Amino acid sequence: MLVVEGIKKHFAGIAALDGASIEVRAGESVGLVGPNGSGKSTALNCCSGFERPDAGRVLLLGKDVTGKEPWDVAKLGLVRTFQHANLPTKMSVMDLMLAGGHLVRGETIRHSLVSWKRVREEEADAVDKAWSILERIKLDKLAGHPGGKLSGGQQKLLSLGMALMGDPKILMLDEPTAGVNPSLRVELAEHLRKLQTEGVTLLTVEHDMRFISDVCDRVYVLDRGAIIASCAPAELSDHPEVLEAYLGRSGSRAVVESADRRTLS
Amino acid sequence: MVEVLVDTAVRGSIIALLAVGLTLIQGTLRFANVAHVEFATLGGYSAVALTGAGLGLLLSSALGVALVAVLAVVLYRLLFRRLLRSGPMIALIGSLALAIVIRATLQLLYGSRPRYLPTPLERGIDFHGALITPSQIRLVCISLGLLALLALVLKFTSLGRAVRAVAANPELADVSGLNRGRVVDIVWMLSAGLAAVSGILLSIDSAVGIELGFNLLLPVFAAAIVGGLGSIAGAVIAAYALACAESLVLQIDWGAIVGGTHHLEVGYRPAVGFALLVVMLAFRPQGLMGRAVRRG
Amino acid sequence: MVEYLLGVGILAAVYAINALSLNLQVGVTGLLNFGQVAFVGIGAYSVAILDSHDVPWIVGFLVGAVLAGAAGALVGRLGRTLASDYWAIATLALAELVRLVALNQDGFTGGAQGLSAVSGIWTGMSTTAREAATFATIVVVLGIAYLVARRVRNGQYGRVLVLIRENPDLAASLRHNVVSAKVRVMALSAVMASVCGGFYAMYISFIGPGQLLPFATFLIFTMVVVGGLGNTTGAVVGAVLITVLYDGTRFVRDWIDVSADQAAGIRILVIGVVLLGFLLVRTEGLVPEKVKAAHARR
Repeated sequence: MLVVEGIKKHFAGIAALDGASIEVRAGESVGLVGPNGSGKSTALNCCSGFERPDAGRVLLLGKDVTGKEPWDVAKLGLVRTFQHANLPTKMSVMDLMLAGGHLVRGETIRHSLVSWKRVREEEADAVDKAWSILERIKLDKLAGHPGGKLSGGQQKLLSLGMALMGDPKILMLDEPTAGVNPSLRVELAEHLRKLQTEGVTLLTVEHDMRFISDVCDRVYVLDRGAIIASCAPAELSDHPEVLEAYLGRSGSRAVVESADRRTLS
Repeated sequence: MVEVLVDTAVRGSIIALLAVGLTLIQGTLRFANVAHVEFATLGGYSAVALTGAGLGLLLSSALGVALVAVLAVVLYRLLFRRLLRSGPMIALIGSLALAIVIRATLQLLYGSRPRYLPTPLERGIDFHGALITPSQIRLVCISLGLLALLALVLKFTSLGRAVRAVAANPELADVSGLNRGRVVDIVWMLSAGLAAVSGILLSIDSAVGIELGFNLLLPVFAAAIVGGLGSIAGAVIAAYALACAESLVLQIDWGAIVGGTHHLEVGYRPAVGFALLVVMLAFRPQGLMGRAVRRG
Repeated sequence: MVEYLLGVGILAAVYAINALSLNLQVGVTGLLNFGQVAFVGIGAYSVAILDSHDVPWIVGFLVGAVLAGAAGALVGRLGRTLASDYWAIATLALAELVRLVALNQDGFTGGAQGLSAVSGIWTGMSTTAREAATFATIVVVLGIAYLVARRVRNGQYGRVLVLIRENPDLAASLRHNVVSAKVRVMALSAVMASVCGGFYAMYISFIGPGQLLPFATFLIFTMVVVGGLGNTTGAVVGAVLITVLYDGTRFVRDWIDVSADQAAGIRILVIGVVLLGFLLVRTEGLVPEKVKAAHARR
């Protein structure tokens, strides 16, 4: 599905990515973890067209998309979300959902002026779809609210909903749980698992190790721009180099959180 | 050829004094202040007002610069801080509105005919075939002196370090215990003061009219952007380079390319700056010495 | 009196077309075009130049629309790599270039004198009837422009444009071609502005470089901000109010004793203060941009 071959990216002489290679197979749910500044976000940006790698290749469904524009990559079926949702306050939840949809006619000036009957039909279909997704992510009661005024967690959920409007083949999530409260995290994990069973491939960048082990089949560990390990989430602790590079801080957080979960349940 | 040199030195100095201030404001507030050049006009008119009240030229100029510097801080506190809270787009429109208000007020008070400062009549000096007036020599010397002084202040004093720290990272400056508000106030005073100096120098050299600042707007922006917004050295170099290009374009005989002898009409002089600005923005928006600006 | 009112009405309608165009750029898409007057100028000069060669006015409008549309697309393309504030300055520079060309290409544009005696649309009628017919024609054109702007704003394309204004990366991640969207909205707006320019030249039967000063753009900005950035109806409301205000201040010398020069200063000052006041006190304008209610379930 997605193959990343030895991508490198430098910023002002500092290597953010130094030959990282990643492969995500169709139907898989893969995690990408690593300490701050290890290059996770840069990797995501390079895959989704927001950054052009200095070297290496990105293949999506067998097509070379290295350095392609973000919208061209998205048209091939790769949709990403952002660490900070930053949804606009001037658009309602429903408007945002429709903006995520693929309304071919309504997007051209000519069609929206001339064949507006068909444009309206197209929009009505998209509205139906938006309602069903909003019900699924339990935001249907907020459909008329401004998107930017939702809570951080709801904005993350809505971003996921907007991405789903375009029927993505592969979803890339940048820290989906950052700023999301614990109960919503559980809900988010359930949604992602469900999506995977529906055939959507997932690549998740995340700090929360418990979320990663809930959602991912396999994990890549990125450190200083290179992949240092690839294993099942449960095996992460078997890699001493991983512990050294990463789990020192977040690992302890994960332990605390799983303790929390026990007291909650 | 000497004529080109003289022309470059005079016009380049005026543009440089303004571009440096624009770049400082952009660096500390991340905001392009269209009204910046109006501080030059205000400088010129305050000198006119003060000499009109019977003060000497030197005293009037010094007081005029101080007045404009104080006015700039007042405007920043009352106006720009509020506009900036509504976002960079509103701030940009607001600075354009302020520029218009300043110009209209001056037109109301002084009319649109140019005003002259009471300067003694000076004989031009013949310098290898080009005519230079003593006031032009003073203009260039004062400008270069002030620019050098500014560079020294920014490089070696604690104020300079603070300004550079805010410019490098507006969010972080607070953490390291700097009073960001104070630094921004001082930057406004400095840049508006330099603008006023350039306005007064220009008024002494020729005259002051309500369009003095506006006529410099695009060359100044061109210099600041070409130099890489936020880079003082870049802005100064670009200012002189731009002035030189403007002067050369008019001197060159384009006949070699289009056939016959063909000089560009003088009316197109400002076009050099515009064209350079547009080309620069299109192909190298980060400027000659600036860092890359993120796309989007 | 009737003629005066018709005159103001015509001017307001012409400006309203311009404001609708600028609102699509600034209000909806967040593209700060400080060079709007260039598109107006292209339309006005096309009509005036062709008219002086006895070409039917409709051809002038078409030529103007094509030229302005192309110019708009180019300017939109320039927006691709530029942060929005640099882009704004670049548009101002381009508009000044257009004005310089109009000023210096005497043989073509009439130079500083401009082109006068541009024929109106309803020639061969008595003055009042002609004014009324012109007014009716321009109101119809304004109505069309309003419908176009509204349809574009309220459909999927408008949604994408607002998303580009608020969060361009998010729009790009949802497969919207940000560059193409900006290029197209610039082209459409430029065409609308050129139509406004054509009517303007025909109504005052004159166009010159003095009409292409940056203040002309500034006036339209005031209309759009006062009406409410991003609101199509607001643009028309703002255009009408500011036209009445700006035209009304022509009579300032009847009330206070000032020179013609000072009176001109006062007129500009009033507009500047109104814009600055709205930006500071009521940024969202008189008719604020609305968050649309959710579509009902079928």
